[in-house]
Order: sequence, then structure tokens, then C-alpha cells
Amino acid sequence: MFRIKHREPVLLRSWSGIHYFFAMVSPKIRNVSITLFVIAWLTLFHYESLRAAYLNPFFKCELPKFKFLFPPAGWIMFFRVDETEERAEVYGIKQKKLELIDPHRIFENRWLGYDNIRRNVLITVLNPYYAESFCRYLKRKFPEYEGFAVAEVVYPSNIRYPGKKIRNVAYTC
Amino acid sequence: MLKAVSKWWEKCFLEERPSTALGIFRLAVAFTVGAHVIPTLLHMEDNYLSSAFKEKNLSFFTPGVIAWIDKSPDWLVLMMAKVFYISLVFFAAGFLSQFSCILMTLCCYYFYALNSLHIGTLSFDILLVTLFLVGMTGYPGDNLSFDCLIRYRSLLSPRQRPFFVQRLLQLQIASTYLYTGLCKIAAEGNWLDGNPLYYLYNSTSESVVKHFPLRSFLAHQPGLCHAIGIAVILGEFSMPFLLFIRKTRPWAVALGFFFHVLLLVTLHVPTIFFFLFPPQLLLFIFPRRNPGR
Repeated sequence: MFRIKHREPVLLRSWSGIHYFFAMVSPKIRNVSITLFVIAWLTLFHYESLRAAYLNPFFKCELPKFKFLFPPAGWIMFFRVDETEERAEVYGIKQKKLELIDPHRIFENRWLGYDNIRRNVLITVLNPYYAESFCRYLKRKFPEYEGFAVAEVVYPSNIRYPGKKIRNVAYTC
Repeated sequence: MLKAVSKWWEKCFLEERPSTALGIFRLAVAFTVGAHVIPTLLHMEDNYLSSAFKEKNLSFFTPGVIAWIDKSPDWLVLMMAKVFYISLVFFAAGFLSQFSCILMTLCCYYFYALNSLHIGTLSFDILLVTLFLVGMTGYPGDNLSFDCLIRYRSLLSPRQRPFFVQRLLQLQIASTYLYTGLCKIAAEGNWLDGNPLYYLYNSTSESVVKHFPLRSFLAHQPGLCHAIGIAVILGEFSMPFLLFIRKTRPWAVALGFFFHVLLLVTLHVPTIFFFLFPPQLLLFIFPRRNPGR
């Protein structure tokens, strides 16, 4: 089963990269190469894991980040959660009336097993830096509206004041 | 002493072992990448083309790279999407495994630099670290691949490989658990002096917490929530030890699976955690002898 006529795979061999290199060199060179790589990788991995939260405060300076790999602040999954909550709301303006736009219509990606909108992805648009490009995006996406208002909604405490929210318009377009 | 260390090092990283587990892991990585990236490619106009709303991750990329990628005309973006699909299929099938892995990873970087709003999550950064190790060698393409079929006329390779790639992937996941636990109690983490799970279960109905059956019950049990939080931290701290001790390893793998099922059921977090981490835990279970022999 799953057997085909044997043929020397020249293309495969030439693309097999490092393990082809390993196969060609002596075991000693191979082992030294692997050892150096493992030491370098583990050093880098633990440095980046500790840099933001521990090494920066310890050395009281911003240590360099290794770009293009590793999360900027380390492995911070749900490391700090408090009782306040902040969300963004987008309203369409039609005949001087405000209509709340479903965020799932704004960003329509459908993910497997979770909802990115519920991860609060919309909060990015509150940043004034993105106001202009988000307005342009809204105008293209929802031509039926005459204008838009983007609001910041803060829930001061879901424990002490459940349901209480403070709404501020961040910008209009 | 030096001889003992040398022997231990050889056993840990240099010893040649079957790479079957890496072959299975390659399939999981391919599925995870597809499940995370493809949904964003289905809405090119909204996500990546010139009409899209884009966020730039300047903590991860340099400004120069961001500016360079941002100059991409729409035809190039569409072409990169096609390259991504092809490389993903090749990688999943194990055809030109290492090359297709590198190409697929570069495409992931390209789209990440173009717009990090949807694709860029902490779990995606973890996935990129994993892809770096997976693409380092051709070992993940050794088994259950077209490469293997062409090279050995069988889906299982008779070759054994230095164990360092699999060991580094093991160390990566074990360390991730450890540092995740550490961040919860030190630095700015508030899992000891606060009650994060209690706050999460009391968050609004649009929040990151799913509407699972026990949510409303837990939302009224601050003491129980705090205890569960402590148990989560203890679990994360103990995982590296439990995983590397042979006797406790099966229990640690089972605990890891349970933890990731709980994440999937209770939180709207990227399913990378569910699709990648459990198969990565299975890298701790590897055959001692080569099934291809």
C-alpha cells in the first residue's frame, strides 16, 4: 500500500536544506552546529519571555526586542483582568438619527470556534490615529449612511455597578 | 561531570530518533495555519486590499518593513494569497515540505505586516515561533508525506533524525505554560490579589466569555472562582515538570487537553490554542523505535 515506483528525487534533495547539510557533514560538525543553534535559540526564547515583565524593570531600561519573532510583551494570556470593561460602538447617521451598526457587519470575518468581535477587536478604532482610515472604510462599507459616530463605552465596574455604562463619542465622520 | 553533562546533552538534543511525531505535528500545524489565516483571506477587500481598514503591529515589525509591505499593489496582495494557498496545500501534503513551510511562513508574515487587526493575536505569535522551528529542518516532512512517498516508496520513513527540533518544540510549550503562570502572579498580573475569573464571568454578554452552562453559577461564587484561578496557576506551573517526568507525562498530556477544551468551551480565544497546543503536547509521546524500519 502507498508504494510507487522508486525514483531519485533530485528536486526534493536540493530543497531539503539543513537536514541535507547535516547528512553531508561529519557527525561532529553536525552536533556542534545543532548545539550552537539550541543554545542560541533557548537563550533568545527565555530572554524574550522574561524581557518585558522582568528584565526591563530589573535593569531599569528598555532592553532591545528581537523583532519578527516572539510576542512583544511575553506570554501574557489573560494575565491581568479587572472589573472594568471598555468597548467601542459604531453608529450610522441617517436623516439625523443614530443607528447602532452590528460590529459583525463592520468586520465580517467568520472564525472557526470563536468570535473575534467578542475579543474586542473593534476597540482598535477608538485610537485617534486610525480615525481617518476607519471613516474611509465605513463610508465604503456602508454607503447607505450619511455619516458615522464612533463611541467609547466604559463599564466602570461589572461587580459594583453591573449594567452601568458611560458612553463618549470618540469622533464622527 | 563534563562527561555526564555531555551524555545528557546528547540524549536530549543530538540522539537520533524517529521523526514520526513531527510528521503528525506537521499536519496539525498546517490545519492550524489554515484555520487562522484563511478566514481573513475570504474578505480581501475588507482586510488586505487598498480599501481595507488596517492596523500595523510596530512592536513586532520594524517601521521600514511595514512601510515596504504597505506599498504592495492589490495584484501583489492577491498573488500572495494564491502563493499562501498553494504553499499550505504543499506543506499539508508534505510535498517539498521544508520549502513549502518556509514559503507559507513568509506569506503569514506578509499578511501579518499588511494588516495585523484580525490575524495578529498572541496565539499567532506563538504559531510563528512554532513555524520557525518546524521550518528549520525537513524532519517534519520525513513521514506521512509525499516527500517520504517519493523518497522511500512508503508513508513512513526508515530514517532517524537528531531529536533537537522535537525537543525544542517540547521545551517551547512547557515554557509557555510556565511563563503564562508566572505572568499571572508577578509583573502586572493580578491573579493572586484580584479575582480575574470572577470578573470575567461577570462581564457583559458581549465580552470574551462564552455563554457556557455554569457561567451564571460561577458569576455568583467569588471564592470558588478565586480557587479555580489558583488551580489554573498551579496547573500551569506544574505542567513543565509533569510533562518531563516519564511517570506523570500521560496525566500531564491529559491535563493539557482538558485545559484546552475548557478554553474552547468558555472563552472566545483563537482556536490556535486548541488546534496547535494539544498536538504539540503529543510530541512528548514518541515511538522509541522507528515504525518505518
